[in-house]
Amino acid sequence: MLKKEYILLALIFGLVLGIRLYFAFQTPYFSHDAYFNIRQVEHIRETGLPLFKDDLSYSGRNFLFQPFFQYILAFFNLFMPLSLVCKLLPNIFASCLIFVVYLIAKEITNSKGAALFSSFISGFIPIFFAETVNSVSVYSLVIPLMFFLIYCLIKINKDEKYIGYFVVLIIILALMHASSFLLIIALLLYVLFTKLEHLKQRRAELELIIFSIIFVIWLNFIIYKNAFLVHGQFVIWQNIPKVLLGQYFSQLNILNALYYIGIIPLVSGIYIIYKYIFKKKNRKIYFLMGFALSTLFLLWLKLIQLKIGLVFFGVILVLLFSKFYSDSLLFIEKTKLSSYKKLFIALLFLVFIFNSVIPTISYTAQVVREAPSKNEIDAFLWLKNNSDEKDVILASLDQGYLINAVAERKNVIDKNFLLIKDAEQRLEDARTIYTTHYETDAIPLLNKYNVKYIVLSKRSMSDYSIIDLNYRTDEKCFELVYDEEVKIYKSLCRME
Amino acid sequence: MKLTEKNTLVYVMLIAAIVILIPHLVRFSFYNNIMIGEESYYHATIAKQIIEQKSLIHDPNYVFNPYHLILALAGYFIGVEFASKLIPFLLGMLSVLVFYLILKEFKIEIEERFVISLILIISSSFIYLSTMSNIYSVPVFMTLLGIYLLFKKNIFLTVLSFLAFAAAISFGMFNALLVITIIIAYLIEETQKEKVSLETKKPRFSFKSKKAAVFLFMLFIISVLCFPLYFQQRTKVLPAGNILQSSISDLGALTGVGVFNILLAVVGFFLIWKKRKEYPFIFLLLLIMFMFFFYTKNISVYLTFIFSVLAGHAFVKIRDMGWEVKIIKNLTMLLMICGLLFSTISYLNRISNMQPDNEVIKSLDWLKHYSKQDEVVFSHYSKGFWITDVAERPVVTDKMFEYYPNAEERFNDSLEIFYSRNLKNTKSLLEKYNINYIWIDNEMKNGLVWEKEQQGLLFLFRNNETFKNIYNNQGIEIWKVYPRILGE
Repeated sequence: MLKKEYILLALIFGLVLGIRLYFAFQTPYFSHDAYFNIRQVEHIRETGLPLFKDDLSYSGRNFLFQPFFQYILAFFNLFMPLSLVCKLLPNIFASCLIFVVYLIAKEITNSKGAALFSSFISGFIPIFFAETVNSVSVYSLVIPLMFFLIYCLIKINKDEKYIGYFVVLIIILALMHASSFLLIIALLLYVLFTKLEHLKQRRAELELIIFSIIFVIWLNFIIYKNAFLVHGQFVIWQNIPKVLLGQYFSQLNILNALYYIGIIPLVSGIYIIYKYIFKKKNRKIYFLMGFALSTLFLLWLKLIQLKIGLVFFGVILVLLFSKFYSDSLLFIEKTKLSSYKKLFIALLFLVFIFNSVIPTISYTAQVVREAPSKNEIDAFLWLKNNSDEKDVILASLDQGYLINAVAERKNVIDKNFLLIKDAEQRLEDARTIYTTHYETDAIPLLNKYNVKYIVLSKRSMSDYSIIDLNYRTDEKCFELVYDEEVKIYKSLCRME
Repeated sequence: MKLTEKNTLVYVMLIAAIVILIPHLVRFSFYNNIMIGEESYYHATIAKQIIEQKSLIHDPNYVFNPYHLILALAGYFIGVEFASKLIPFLLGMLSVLVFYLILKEFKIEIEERFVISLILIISSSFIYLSTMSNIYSVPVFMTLLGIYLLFKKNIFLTVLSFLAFAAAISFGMFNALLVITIIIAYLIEETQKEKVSLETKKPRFSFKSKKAAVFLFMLFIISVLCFPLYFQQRTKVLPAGNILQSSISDLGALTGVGVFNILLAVVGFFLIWKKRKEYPFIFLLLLIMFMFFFYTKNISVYLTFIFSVLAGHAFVKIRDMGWEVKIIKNLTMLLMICGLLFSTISYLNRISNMQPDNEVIKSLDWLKHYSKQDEVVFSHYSKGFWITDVAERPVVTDKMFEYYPNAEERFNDSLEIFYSRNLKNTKSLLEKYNINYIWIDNEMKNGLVWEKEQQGLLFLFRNNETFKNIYNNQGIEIWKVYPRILGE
């Protein structure tokens, strides 16, 4: 017969996955950024190889990325429709985090209750939930995998088989995303903590850490070498234009953290970090502290995108919460309030519902609302059917991937700026085309990028604070070829 | 492969010869044996002038370097181009040999010695030193020779050591400081040994200490005498490059250190930190090199020797650290070797296929025959040495123009010529420098100077009364300038 906690864990998994899928299937489309991965998956499915040299993005460029996640999706695409693969699999991966959190929490607390409570909380970290529900995000798999690696390291003292698991998984992780660097920094901090506190460390653990450091640096260096040659140390900021840099790498503030992570994990996590820096020693907690502090440093120095940093930070704080929870219950049991233990748990649960579950749902609903509308997709499908294959299309920055994936046409700009030397200029030119009052300004720029069609959607209107193109009245140069909720203008003139 | 005292040095020298010869073989097979890079052409031009004039160059803008005399001397017998390739090769090989002997002198285990030497040989800075004509290969060799001979008791060898150090000093202020630091480190080491000896009632000052003190005094005097050579009037006008891209070879630096080399050297540094009193040499040299590193990135040609020692030490220590999981050990060692080798392969590929190529030389050769001797050619400053050496024509700017009078004005004027769309302004500037030809290549059109078509001068080229395209082949264009015909 199955143990009670496994049944509870399965129920939590079912609940989290159910809510995720409910949101994911609210729209048949995906969030804008998802279309990059969807295109890659399609390409792998068709050719067996990722699309590293793309003729459509920026009207021709090279991509640099680790394609393992896209290969996994492409594999499932062999027996399932693509839209189902992209809706279902990332949500299953992300929901698996609750198992990983359960395992780690159980290891560090020896309490099934604390582990179950933490795994439940991990299912509703607002930022992680919302950012992975409809975006076919690589983080849906990277996050559970990275924490499972931590679990393997915790366990190698007890079981040799985890050494093998760790080696295989670190290779997979490094082949999946550059955020494996975060794990490396975390492991280095862990080694530092254990040395400072004179804790015993098993040789194999140190060996695995050395191997991971060398492997991750080597692999990323090989993959991103060209980017380093082109952008130097600015690769860290992915060559994002200065105008946008503030949005991606913004300053961490406490209100953001409260909203995106939740008050209980944040407060309890910080308390545990304080306690284990100044008062107690615990090797397992140092793994998590290394992770928490490395994320915090990177966020503080703006070396990691705020949302991504908060996703990692959120999960770590949930794990640290488990320790707080078990320590608090132990403490209560020793006091005269021990009879109120259940009340304490209920109160905590209630605060958690208000502070994590409700923000998760509202934030996710907002993210799902921001996915492209049917009108938007129809406009891009119209372009696919009515424009020439070589035509270049201008749309807002967010819609760049949609032009490539749905309209299957060339764009002027999209959100992947790596290796693009004139990204700043293109962003500025796109803004000029949308906002200028004079066609004498717009036409040379349209000619410069060979733009044939300009897409004017609600999104571009709100991005550029316009209600229409100011120079549209010249019908000789700008023909309105599609006039629904989204408008499409055809550019007809050339200016020498 | 069993390493013995006999075969290790042979292996090391053989590998060094193979690595150094690769770029030359590629150039020989695919580029008509054309010299690599920009700097080589500058040194060749100066050497040719010295041979022609049979005396030192008297141009007040000329920045003296003893390397030019050596190149001219060798070039007199075997031709400057061949000497430009042979001197770095020979000095590279000799540097490896002396470096290996120094490691032996320091009683480093044979295996570690082998690894350190290999890491040095495959380092990008060493490959640069040994394949391109440059001003560092002589002082590097002289310094290494000086160090090796410094430990010898023989009086003749001591004199040779002194001469080697004195020769190195004449190459620049950094060399002078480096040599003095080496002697101080040596003195510290000897004094420490004597403290031990004092307890056993041996003579107070040994021959070595006295030798070091005399060396220190005399080399200091020589450095002071060389002072006028170190300081040249220079106006810094060129923008400082990205620090990472100019110091890490994997990121594009010509004289930089590889990422894995740095990584291993950092580990090595921490490993020998505990023994810092036993190795004053390494730590003092590192200190002086790092201090100068912020001043000039080319220090990495010296730094690479220290980094090789640290990286080699780290490599051996990591290998021998008593691994619990054998497969992890094998994977880690494989990754480290791959990491070091990939940097080397990528660097060798880069320098072997570096500009100038056949097309550049062809166009400059054409210009040499088409133009008159005193006609001035305008181009990007990075192309200046090629034009001066191959086309044998004067230029407005080259990489040494910061030492010319009015460097800032020259630089700003050249930018004005490149980017202005005002024909009148451009013509007046072309007239100011008596420019007769403009030489441009693909690199200049693709980002080095211009980002867009029809930008600045590229737009003005449409005016066929002022500019006439006289050469257009494989993206290289030469434009004849007629500013005076229409000059108002």
